[in-house]
Amino acid sequence: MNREQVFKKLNGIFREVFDNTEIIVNDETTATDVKGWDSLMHITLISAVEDEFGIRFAMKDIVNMKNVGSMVDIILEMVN
Amino acid sequence: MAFTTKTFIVFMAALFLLYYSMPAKYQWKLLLLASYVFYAFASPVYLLFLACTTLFTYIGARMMEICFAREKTVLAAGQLVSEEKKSIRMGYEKRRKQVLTTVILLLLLMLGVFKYATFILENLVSLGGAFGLELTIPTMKIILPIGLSFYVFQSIGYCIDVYRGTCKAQENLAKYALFISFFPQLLQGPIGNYESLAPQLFTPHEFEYRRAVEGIQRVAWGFFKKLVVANQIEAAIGIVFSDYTSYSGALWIVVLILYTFELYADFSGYMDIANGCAYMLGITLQENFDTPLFSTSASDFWRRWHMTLGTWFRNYLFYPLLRSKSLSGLRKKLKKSGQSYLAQVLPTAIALLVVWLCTGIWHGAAWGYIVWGLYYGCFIILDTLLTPIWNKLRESYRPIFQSKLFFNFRVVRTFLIVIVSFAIFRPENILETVYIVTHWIGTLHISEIAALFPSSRQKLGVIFGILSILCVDLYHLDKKRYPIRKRLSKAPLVVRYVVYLSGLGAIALFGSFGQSAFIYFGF
Repeated sequence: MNREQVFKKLNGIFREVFDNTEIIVNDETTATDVKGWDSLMHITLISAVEDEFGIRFAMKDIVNMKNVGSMVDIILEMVN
Repeated sequence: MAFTTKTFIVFMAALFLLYYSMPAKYQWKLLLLASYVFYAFASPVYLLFLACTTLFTYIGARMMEICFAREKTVLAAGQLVSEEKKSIRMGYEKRRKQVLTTVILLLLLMLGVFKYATFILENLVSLGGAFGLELTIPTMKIILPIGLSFYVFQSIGYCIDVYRGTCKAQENLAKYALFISFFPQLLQGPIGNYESLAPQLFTPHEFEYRRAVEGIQRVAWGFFKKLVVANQIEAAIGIVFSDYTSYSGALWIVVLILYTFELYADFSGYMDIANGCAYMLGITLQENFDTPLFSTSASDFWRRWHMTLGTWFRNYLFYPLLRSKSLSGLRKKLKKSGQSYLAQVLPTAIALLVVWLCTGIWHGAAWGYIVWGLYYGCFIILDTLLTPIWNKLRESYRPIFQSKLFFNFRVVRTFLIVIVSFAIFRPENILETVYIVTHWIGTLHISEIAALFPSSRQKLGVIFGILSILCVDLYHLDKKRYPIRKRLSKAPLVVRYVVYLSGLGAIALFGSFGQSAFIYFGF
């Protein structure tokens, strides 16, 4: 799986979790860029990503993810 | 040593001069010495608790680090198949977990004995009495070492970070001792995070005029909040709470509003002094407040009030709970059965309930704090349950939801939730809370409010203080704005000195300088 494919899937997950069809995420996207992305929604998002990619994030990654780019890095490392 | 005493001002001035006049590589050692001296002023006996906490967690973290190193060596040593690697990893993971559990249990036991033993024993005696049993358990008053809840939480956070591999365990015991004891944050937080705080503590710092000035400005603002607002309000409303049955009617609403400002001024004032002192020494602490009085919901309030405690509970309790086998299993089960809404909200609601129960208990050993925690828990759970509905409504009625009027409505509504919460938080027992909430409806005469403030100096001080806090917070509400201190530093010399002298004049004129501890010392 390459970066582009991960982003394509992630866009779908973000749109579903945040109930917003206009969301387009990129490497630099952070919680402040997406309305409603707070600590509660963060864990919902993490679970949705895990279900979609069949992975399980480590707690340190959940807490320290700086932006969507770092989330994609971790996903790529786990799926490939 | 309380921040608002002459002793502390002399202590800080002497430390500041020594810190920047000595070779920079020794600065952290001076900070460690100063922190222990600072804590010894509260009581030399308390040093023992601080030292024990430091030692337990240092040893625990080092043991986990050694486990990591051994695991790495074993994995790198031979040609292992993936099953063997997995089994080795699991073995070391189990050992680390055992160490972490032991350290956390030891710390919680210490916290439990000093913070909750009296409460538990008293309740056992009462419970026995209710069933006709006369229990002869010795109920003694155990004094809680100041700041214990804060540094125990900071130490636990550090150990969990080492366990998760977020940070490496500190090898140098003295350096680690400084991370736990750094005096500006020792007694009341902010609860520090090792990764962001530790490197700053051990790095040599050059004197910077700008930092020193901005640090002093912030310390002065903290003094203003504590001496002019918090102390003066306490002088006015303390008597109402201590003789609560003599008061009734809407005066209680006024008293609760005043208490909200008192607690905010007291706690955030402490943070201003703590952060200001640290800033003067070249160290930036985490922020604990972000204009909380303008929050738009209970959840939003807790993202802006005592932020480091909220972050601690989120990272070390809320997330692990939601990731636990039972709650993640529940979520998957509900999702499989097609109940996607329940799958999203039910595990979250359960985890939130536990977190808010713990938040209440953390604040103190009294039923009032437990009820207070659950009160916020209920609002935040309600917020979570209604989020999908709100999101749909927001889409349909976007102009209303985005209007200034609706924003103001949400701020006022949240402020009401907050002031009611303090009717549970401040009283010494639940009976007092029940009295307040059953007596706050009634008439209010302006003379009743005036009677709370016997002198016009006190009255003017509180009005001026509250307005100043509101103006500064209102200014900072717009995140795009330049911070007010930076903006002030760019103002003409005359303007700057008018502001400085007015602030100092207000402290001298309206301040209440009696011995008064900060409220959160009690936690």
